[in-house]
Amino acid sequence: MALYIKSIENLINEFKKLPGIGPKSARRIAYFLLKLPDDDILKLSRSIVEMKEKVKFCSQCYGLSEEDVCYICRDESRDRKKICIVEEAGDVAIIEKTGEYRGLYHVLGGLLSPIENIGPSEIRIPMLLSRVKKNDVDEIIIALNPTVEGESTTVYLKKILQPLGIKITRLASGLPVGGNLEYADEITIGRAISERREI
Amino acid sequence: MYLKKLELINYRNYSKVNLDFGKDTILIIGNNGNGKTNLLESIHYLSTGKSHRTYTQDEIIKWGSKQSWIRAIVGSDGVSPVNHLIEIEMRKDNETRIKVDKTTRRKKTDFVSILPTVIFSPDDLKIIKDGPSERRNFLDSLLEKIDSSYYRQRLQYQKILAQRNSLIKSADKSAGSKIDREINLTLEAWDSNLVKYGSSVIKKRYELLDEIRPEFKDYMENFFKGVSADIFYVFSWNRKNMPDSFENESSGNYQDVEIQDEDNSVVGSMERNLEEVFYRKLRENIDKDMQYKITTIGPHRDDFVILLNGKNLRFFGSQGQQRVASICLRLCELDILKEKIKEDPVLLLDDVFSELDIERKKMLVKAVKNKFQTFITATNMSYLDKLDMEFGSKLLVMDNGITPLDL
Repeated sequence: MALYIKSIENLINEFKKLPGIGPKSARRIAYFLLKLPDDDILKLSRSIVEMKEKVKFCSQCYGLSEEDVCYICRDESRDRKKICIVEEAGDVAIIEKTGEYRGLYHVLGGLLSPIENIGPSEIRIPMLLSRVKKNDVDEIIIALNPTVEGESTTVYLKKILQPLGIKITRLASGLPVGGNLEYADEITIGRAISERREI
Repeated sequence: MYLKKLELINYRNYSKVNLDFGKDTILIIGNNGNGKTNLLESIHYLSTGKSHRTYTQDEIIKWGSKQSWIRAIVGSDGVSPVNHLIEIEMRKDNETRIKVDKTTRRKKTDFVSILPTVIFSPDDLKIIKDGPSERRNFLDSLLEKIDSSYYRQRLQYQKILAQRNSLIKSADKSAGSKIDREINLTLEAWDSNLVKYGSSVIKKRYELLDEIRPEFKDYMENFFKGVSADIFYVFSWNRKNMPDSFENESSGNYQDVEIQDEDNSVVGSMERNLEEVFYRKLRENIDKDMQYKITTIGPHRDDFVILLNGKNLRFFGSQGQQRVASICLRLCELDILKEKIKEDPVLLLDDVFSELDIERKKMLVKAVKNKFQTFITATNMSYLDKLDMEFGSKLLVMDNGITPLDL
């Protein structure tokens, strides 16, 4: 019979729900926490609660923010005529890290997927439309994942945004930088060839 | 490539089998139910990572065992001989592990072209006789062998199709049989991607059949002197009615063939053109889709038809003619494989001679003789009488074991 202590098992079960954590890691983390000083445990548990209390969706772009409007949307030095559409709030941070983009964002919170009953109004497309109509926008950059759902959402966005006379672009897809041709899959290489450009 | 060594452990009726082969013709003799096909199946498995007979792994694992193994050495001779060790482990929990030269291969597509095989099986009659899905399967599995991107493209298409079907089904709940503007807009988004991936599936299948066509005609007209044979790709939008009523088609002359000529230009001229036609047909049939709650247009509904003297062989051919047509398709597969992957395939002839008359047997032997390593099964030596074949080795399959016979 394995050692069974209810409070430890409870915590392990909570950890197992986290992404990327299996039963073994969950157990390891639980036993690690057991050894931590009380202060550290308090700090950890407080920061989890605090994060949950403070972080909300920005009322404009639906990115993450502690204020009603996030720091990106408040930043007057950014190009307010450009909106980059991403699937999840985490994608904003990924694009921000590049430093290549100085416009605003719009987080959809999902992709069109009839199988999961997700239509345009389940992901923040109505909000995007009213935002685009209210503000002076000259370019929409679609940065959705190149999956089946991402591509169909891209086509849908193009269909509803084009009548508004806005330039619509999407991220180029092709070979990873520093990558090797032989490791790329056929569809990627195929697209890199068909969407090649002059240098 | 050819199969040099084969070891089976707990594979179907075999507990342990160890065999060596040369690059010649191997005859496998045995009564019904002794496991001749099982032996061929294991070789086919080595080639494709799947069985040609079953989808459930458990059947393959010998009763009362937890795992089965296929181990093989495949290779080529010549100035720079090559040898590969292929190991396949199948477990009861439906898990399969494939190792090539002791390295694990995760993707099947990585490994399919090592030992190309063509199997002539009694089930091939289904390609001719059964519904369109058998014929699509024939084209698809051949394309998967020669075009490594095809599998993924078809998978993408299937995913989009599933999404579209589910959208059509849900549309009914919210809007009745007429589609409202909102749903239609979403549908258009899925349609344009369906067309994009679907068109490349159609194009590849169409071009494959186009390549096969002259050879298929030659083979057929060789097997049956004085007849004219033909083979055509049939687009989903040219299949006259809904699939159900299509099965009851009464007229022998396949009328769609006339439209076919107009459509040759569809694929021939440019991919763009095909995409346009596909998209237009998809939109034209939207009400029908809504009514049947399924996507009725697309490569998942395509077919091909074989004509013998202008009549659809599927409905008007004799069993013997249909059998020969299925053999001719396999012969074309063999030629295409050889040409595209530049590697000698292994031939598996499972009980193909029993249904053929002596003339036809001789022709088949002539078409395949002494070209590749060939495995032939038969219940009776007399099926092979007067065929002038030379066997490198003969194996007797009996009592769940395999023993070499003296030549």
